[in-house]
Amino acid sequence: MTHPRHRLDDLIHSPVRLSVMSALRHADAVHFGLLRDTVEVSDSLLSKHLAALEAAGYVEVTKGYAGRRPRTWYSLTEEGRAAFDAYIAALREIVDAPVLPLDSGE
Amino acid sequence: MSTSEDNTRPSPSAAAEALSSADAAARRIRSRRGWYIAGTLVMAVALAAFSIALASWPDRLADLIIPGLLVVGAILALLAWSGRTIPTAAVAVSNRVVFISAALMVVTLLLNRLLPAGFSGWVVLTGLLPALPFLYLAWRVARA
Repeated sequence: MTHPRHRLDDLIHSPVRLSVMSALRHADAVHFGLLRDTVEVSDSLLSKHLAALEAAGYVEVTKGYAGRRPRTWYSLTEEGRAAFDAYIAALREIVDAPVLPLDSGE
Repeated sequence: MSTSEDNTRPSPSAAAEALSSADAAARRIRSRRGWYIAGTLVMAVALAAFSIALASWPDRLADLIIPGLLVVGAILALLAWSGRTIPTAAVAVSNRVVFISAALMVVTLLLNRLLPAGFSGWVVLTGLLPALPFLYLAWRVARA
């Protein structure tokens, strides 16, 4: 059986992307501004991470308007939800795993 | 694009820290549900008030009820603008809630024709019917 760390998705591994995915996992759609305030990063850095997640097929973008102001909404795709859930499950396994002695060959 | 941070595999303590930051982001998003709940409660109160007012004081439609609806519309627009998130629990049922509420509004208007003119307890009871689906939606989002 492989160690759960081998199942960690590199794309989600960045703290910013993990927070973005977690925020999106708990709502159907989130406005860009709220994501930026939640993750506490600059617009440009958030855009860069969102573009990477979108390119991987984890996030989808919906553009719309609130009154006359343009608004961009983000949500997780089915693939993104599955990847996030698997990532969190792997993290929990790592946290819950018993600590092995140093000379165990690990 | 890739950083050394991206390729580092976490120790149990780093994994716990990552879980904690993911939980913090989730908590912040969940806390925004209040805006959506406020919007559904405004909608419930407005629908009940509208149907009660229409049945009790139909002669004041122009000077009281229509301005009231405009104010409610403005409040809902403000809440939608401030909300910035759509709770997952709302998406599955929101269309059904609007449809059932519209159907109950028709039932209320038909029932009100059978009731004596003017304000009464029965008018209040029938007026609550179209509000019930929105109260359910608020409850569903609040407990999700």
